Amino acid sequence: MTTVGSPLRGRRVGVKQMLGRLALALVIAIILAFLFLPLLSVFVTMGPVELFTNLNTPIAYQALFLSLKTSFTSLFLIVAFGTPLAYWMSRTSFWGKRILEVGVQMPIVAPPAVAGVGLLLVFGNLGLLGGVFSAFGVDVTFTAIAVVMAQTFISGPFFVVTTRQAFESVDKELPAVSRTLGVTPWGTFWRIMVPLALPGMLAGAALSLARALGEFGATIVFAGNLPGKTQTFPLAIYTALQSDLDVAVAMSALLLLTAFILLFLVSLVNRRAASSALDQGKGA
Amino acid sequence: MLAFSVRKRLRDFTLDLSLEIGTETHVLIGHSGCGKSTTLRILAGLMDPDQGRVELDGRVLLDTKERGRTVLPEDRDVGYLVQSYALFPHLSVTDNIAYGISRLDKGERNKRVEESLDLVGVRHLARAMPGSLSGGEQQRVALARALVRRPRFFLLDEPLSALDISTRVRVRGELKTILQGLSIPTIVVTHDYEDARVLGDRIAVMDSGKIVQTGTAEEVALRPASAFVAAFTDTNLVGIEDGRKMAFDPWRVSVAREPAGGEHEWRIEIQDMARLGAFVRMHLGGSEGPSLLADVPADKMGREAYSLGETVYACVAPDDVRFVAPPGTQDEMGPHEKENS
Repeated sequence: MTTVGSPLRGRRVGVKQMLGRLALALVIAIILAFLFLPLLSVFVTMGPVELFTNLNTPIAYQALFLSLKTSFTSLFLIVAFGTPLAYWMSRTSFWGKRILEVGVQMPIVAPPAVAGVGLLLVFGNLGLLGGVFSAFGVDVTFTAIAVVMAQTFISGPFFVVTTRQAFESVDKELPAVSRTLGVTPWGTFWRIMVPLALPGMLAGAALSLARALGEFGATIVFAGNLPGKTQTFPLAIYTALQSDLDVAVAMSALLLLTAFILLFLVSLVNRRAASSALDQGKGA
Repeated sequence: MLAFSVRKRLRDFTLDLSLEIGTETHVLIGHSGCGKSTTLRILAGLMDPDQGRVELDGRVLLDTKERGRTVLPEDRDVGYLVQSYALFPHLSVTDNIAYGISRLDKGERNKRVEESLDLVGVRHLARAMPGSLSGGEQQRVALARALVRRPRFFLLDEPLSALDISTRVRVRGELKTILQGLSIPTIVVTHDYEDARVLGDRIAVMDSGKIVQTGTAEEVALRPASAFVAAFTDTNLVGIEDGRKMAFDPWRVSVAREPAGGEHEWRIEIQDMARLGAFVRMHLGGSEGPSLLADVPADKMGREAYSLGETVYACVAPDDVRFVAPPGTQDEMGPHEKENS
């Protein structure tokens, strides 16, 4: 009787399998090392005390404060303007909606420097709308307003896309039934749509915040790199790199840690959303 | 009294129907996609017809002839139960039921929620989340949520089709009791004749957006107006020479290997057989001639051992036949029908 499990044949396959697994493991190890080493190196080059000492400089504080202020302002604007857009896009269909969807996502893939150039062309002193702004005595370039605009432009799509998907995944019957239970569209939005889309909205907000905190290219092109005015944390790292490597490393470590925590929160929220969706499915 | 007349072009046909419904349960029965659910959505205000008028107890809910004469769904006093029950997954059973009465003061609200929990018998589930409920429990909570608002008309879209067969019969009985206690115009949409027969005071059979027959369950089964209706009620309907049709029940058909020489007899092939309790239901037919259903007692089936594809003689006694006049003419009773009906 010949079986698949005969010893000779089994060993030959075993060696081949072993080689295959080894090759796969090697490929995975190389790519993981490439991805993680630069990030980890920031932490291993100096101890926590050293990190803190290096961070403890006026330039770093200034930059950190500006980054937090502008990033949270951007986040507020993104949520305030992005939520209605995401809701509208989840509810309507029309000719050319695909094009609009792709357009909304463009800032994710467009080079940030190009975004900065675009912002300059529209809002710069000599730009399309620059005249309108300066007529009111407002000059946005090289101010914190420009920083917020750059961050909002670059990081907004992360929130809009995730939130739109979150709204779309809510069962269409729920808002319909809510209406027949005497609740207006506005009430239905707050009592049904927002609570059910909340995990997605939070994940989108965290992604946008992380992206805004790290924004570099569009900011340096559109807002410039003026310490205390438009020099955000990533720009300060770039500047520090040219004078004091240790300070740059310490600042990078802080930024990385923040990004990691935000991303980790996103994955937690996603896990909880997935398990509660499972609970919903069980009953049906 | 709910009175409506609506017209709406759908992809494959035009929905076009008018009905007047008193304080009774009216069942709309038809295949999926015949426009039943669309009708309910229009009545609930979730969709607009191309033309139409909906009136409830003299109050106009919709009139396409008068511009802007549309009452929003939230102001229609409608109860609307959907097939999936659509319980709000983030709210407990109590909060689901209280969802539509949040404007009432707390005392009144609690009282009504308690009443509704008792009405559908789910008091023990008050704190449960929808995700942990069975299909039958979800249906009852959805029913309570719709009724707690004391709607003035009630629309139920396939209220039983999400349930498995064992719970279905029990829940159907409970639903019937609840609907009978309501005394408001009620429309139930279903594709199942059993549901229609049990729940409906009257039945309207729908095909491609139009009502092809209305009547009580018994009337519809006794004299199906068309082959379409006959198929729903499992009644045999066979055309005869003068344009009339005759209807008879599957359990009146006798099957034999030799011709009996009766007035209504067909030589016919056995195309399918299915055991139904003490009977075997035969699906009889052939390339020409009618398609018939015949219920053969199981013990006779055991003796005769008919097989699929076999050609047999099916006959029905003249006394068991009901003649159905073509639509638009006076119905004519079968010879012994008068005392039966």
